Amino acid sequence: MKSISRRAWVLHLMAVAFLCGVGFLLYTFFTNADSWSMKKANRHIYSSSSLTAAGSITDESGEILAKTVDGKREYNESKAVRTATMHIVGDPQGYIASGVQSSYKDVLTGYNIVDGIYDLKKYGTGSDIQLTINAELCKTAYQAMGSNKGTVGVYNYKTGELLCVVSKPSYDISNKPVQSINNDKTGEYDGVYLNRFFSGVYTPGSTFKVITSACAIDNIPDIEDRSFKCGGEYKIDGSSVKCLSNHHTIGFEKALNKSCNSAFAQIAVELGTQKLTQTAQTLGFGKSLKVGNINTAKSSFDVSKATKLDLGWAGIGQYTTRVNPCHMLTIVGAVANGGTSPSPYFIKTITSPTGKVTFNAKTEMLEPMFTQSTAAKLNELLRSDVENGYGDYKFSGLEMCGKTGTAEVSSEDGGLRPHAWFVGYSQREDLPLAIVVVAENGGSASSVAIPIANKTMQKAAKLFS
Amino acid sequence: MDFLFEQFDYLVRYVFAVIAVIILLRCVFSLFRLRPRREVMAKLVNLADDSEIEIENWETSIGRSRSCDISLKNYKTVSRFHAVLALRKGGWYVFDTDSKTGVYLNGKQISHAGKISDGDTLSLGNAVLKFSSNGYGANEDEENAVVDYTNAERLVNLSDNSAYYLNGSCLIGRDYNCNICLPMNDISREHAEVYLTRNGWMVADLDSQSGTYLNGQIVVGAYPLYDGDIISVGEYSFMFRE
Amino acid sequence: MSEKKTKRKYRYRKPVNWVFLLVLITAFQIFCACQILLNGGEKLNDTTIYIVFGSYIIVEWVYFTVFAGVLRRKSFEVELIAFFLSGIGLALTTSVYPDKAYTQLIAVFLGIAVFIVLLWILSDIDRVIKLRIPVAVISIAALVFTLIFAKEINGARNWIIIGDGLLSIQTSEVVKVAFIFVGAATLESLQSTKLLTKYIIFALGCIGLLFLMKDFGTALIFFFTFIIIAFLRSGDIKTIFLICTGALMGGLGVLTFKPYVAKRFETYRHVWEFADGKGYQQVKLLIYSVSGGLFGLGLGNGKLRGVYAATEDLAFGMVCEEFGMIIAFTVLLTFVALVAYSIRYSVAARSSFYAISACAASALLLFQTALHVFGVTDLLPWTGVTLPFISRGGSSMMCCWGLVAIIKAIDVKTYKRYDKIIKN
Repeated sequence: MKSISRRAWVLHLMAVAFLCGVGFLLYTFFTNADSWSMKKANRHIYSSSSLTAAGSITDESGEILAKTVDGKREYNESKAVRTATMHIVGDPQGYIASGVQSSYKDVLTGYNIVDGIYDLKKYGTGSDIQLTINAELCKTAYQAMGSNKGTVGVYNYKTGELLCVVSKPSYDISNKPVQSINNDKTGEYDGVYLNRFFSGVYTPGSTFKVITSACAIDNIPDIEDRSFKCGGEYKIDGSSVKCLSNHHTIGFEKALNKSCNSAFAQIAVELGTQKLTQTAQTLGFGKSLKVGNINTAKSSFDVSKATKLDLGWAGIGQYTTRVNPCHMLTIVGAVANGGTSPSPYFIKTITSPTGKVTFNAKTEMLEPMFTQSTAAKLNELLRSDVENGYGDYKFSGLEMCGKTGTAEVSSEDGGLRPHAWFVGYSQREDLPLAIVVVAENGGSASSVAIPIANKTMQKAAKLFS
Repeated sequence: MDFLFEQFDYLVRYVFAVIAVIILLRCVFSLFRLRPRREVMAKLVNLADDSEIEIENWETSIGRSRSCDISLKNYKTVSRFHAVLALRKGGWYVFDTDSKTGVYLNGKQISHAGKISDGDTLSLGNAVLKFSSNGYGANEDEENAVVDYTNAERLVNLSDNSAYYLNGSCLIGRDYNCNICLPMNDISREHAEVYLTRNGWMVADLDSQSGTYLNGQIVVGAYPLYDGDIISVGEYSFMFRE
Repeated sequence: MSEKKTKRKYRYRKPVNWVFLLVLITAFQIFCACQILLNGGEKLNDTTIYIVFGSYIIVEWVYFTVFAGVLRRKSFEVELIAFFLSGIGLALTTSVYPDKAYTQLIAVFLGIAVFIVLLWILSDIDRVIKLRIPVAVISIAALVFTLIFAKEINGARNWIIIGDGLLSIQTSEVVKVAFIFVGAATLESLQSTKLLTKYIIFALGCIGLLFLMKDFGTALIFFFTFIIIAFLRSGDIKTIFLICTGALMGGLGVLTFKPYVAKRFETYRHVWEFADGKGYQQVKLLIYSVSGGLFGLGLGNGKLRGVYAATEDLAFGMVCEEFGMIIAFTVLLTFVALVAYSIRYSVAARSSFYAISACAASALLLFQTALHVFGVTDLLPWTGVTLPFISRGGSSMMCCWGLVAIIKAIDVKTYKRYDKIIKN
């Protein structure tokens, strides 16, 4: 008997192995719960691979953007609004990863590991999400884009609320042109599932001069008294950085107003690799911004292998520099807000099916980008840009500050038109909004980007002041 | 009514979990913690050196091999697996498990199995063992015997096997008010106390002159009691059973 | 003195209070019935629920009253677990397949009957020894019979169907109990016949027949049980190692030379890639298991029930989704507890027969649970074995109760009367 009971101890090994297996199973259940439960095969949530049961999404004013009625997902009545807000709301199939319907699926369906999707069963819906986005503003911005692809983003530089996020091309979410998207040869639906505002990166062009200026203000004490020579180009090492016109001798402020490439190439070369990189890093280049559940694409500024000429080009936003529109928005937001930008967000409140508000957005600040004095200086410069460069009449009554950019896109494959940028903000106390506009291959910034920005900001002024 | 149903449906999920966890964990913990009660069921006395071998199993193997329960290593004439001693329905049996030298019960060789009772001598090769059962196997039909398998905690006076059933607290001493009154000179008026706490039964010495002993060791303060413990007070001994 | 100390360490503990737990179990089952009534579909007939749950609860109380009140038995942990788990299985079956509720109820009753009868048979070791050879012969005969006459269901020939589906028996389940019954032996017979030959022939016969039936899951369980029993009997690690290596080589050989067998396991660790095909059931199980959360969605609210063989092959997922993960994982723990219990009591068993059989029975239950749970969640290859007590199925229910009877027979207390003496 003794020997048998001694042998029986071997069964302990088996029990331990079993318990290990159970532990591992629990671990996999807990780590994968979110992704598994949100699979399209889950008929609690999906029917024929389309989201059916989920909470509603409303805009800042309470306008319904998406809701579930009798097990069917319905969207805003207006086609224009549906199209304009498609990227931020997200599609029911989940192709648009940064859309609320994808990135906040667990909230909308009310899933959590403790209760499972019981709330969804009980109430037929999960939590409701109210966005900070304004549908009307999105519609205006989308229409203002005209035939251009690209993105418009507007946010409140005091609170961080994103009021408008538009990405083009888009489509009507209720009548998805599946055939045209799948058989698209003209490029009409190029990158239609990408929310360019969060996930796109573009060559910044002259808008990067804001950053070069910031670096110059910090590192060259007498920068405002300097003058630069422009002969239509700036020669470095046998090659040259071209300027749009011959500005002859030009001061710092004027150079920014006129967007003189020669002057800024000189400044960049004088500042050197290290200082520019340092400024870029403080501004958040190379890092991803977290907007709610979404991580934006990383902006990049890498001059570690740059020649002098390259550095000159980098200083005016060419070379390998790429900027994410949302990131650019926070940079001008920081200028407007005294050096620090609030963290942008687009979820205003989350309300559980029982009517309890489970999440209320709070303003959080990003890392400081500029010192206060630098911010004040840049503020003056950007205001002078609009006053003396583009003309205040282009933004009537808005007291805009800003900088355009016409980003040359590598034209080796045959003369692509440059990206048209505008970044700026209103100085008005009652309109603390910053805007970024990117029109892909739109051409001249002042003729393409500024009207879009103006239309959007005028609408915003009407809506919010 | 629908509202009530809804509430029921909502609440019952948690109730389910709570009930199931109580039931299963209660049983699981019980199964994990239950240990069999093991007692000396019989004894074998090796007549060569008067050494005593206690038998605690229902089946006991005897042989020269080390994996036997009773290992007779030094006896060359004992087979490696010589015999098995087993408690069966009719009493104790000894089985010859194909040994070379055979099994002799009171001098007579057994063919396969033989019934063994108190006082019998068991010869395995040149090893001679005297068997004494500890009261086990005495009853022909143990299933129906109403013995002292009760779950009532009690103190058994070992001198006359009388039992005192414990209820809350029990004072032992010379005084008439004591639950167990022992009118002897070497016992203090209130000598010892057996009482129930949250952690089970305890015994405490009440500053007696001659002391209270638990399993032969003097009790200082209070000790927990377990089944089979022997409490000695003066010349009296009590066995605690639960 | 040291002996006394060890005695103190192993403190004797009282068995659980069955009345309290049985009240809880009854409450649980009444709640289940209410929930099925509330969430029930059109197929559901209210009287079915009343009859099924009513009679089950009555039988529970009768069993405990008789055994505790009349026969004066103590320690009911094992039965409480078995009754509770069977209750969960019954509730799932009633809720998902109301038309099969009565069959399942009868299966549970038969299981309880098997339990009582087997306990009685096991009470006398002489009777057990006499019965071993006939049982061995009958089980082999039954398996051969099945192989010849059985209907093939889901690629395995292991169902005997009598009278147009009126009665269908899975012989392999019944033989499980016999397999352990035959495998265990008393100490004196172990010592007299040191060789395992006879048992090995019997075991290989059973396993071979199961292989011919293509019932690989059960064959694996049998093989595992065989290893456990062989080890407990002989302690001969070398032989067992040899057998295991042989089996492994054989298995690998089968996989290489018969690629269609390997193909059965191609979804292993890749279920998500086969989500629309072979991995369909498993993918659904994973999705719905986590959808249930810790507390489940409640009986009748799940979606896994719509998947094929939900209450049999996917029983674990059903428990996860409708009862919640807490209950599902606690259920798993109970099988570990049964093993621990068998190990503890093996030293005080009335004969090595009980020690070996109880250890083997609890190990079998645990192994089967492991194959079911880990197989269906894709941690092990999926063999389609059932979850003991909870999966629907008459033969497996009887087998489980039989195994539990074997486990329970290890404890001397099972057969003792505990009469209260009140005197002072």
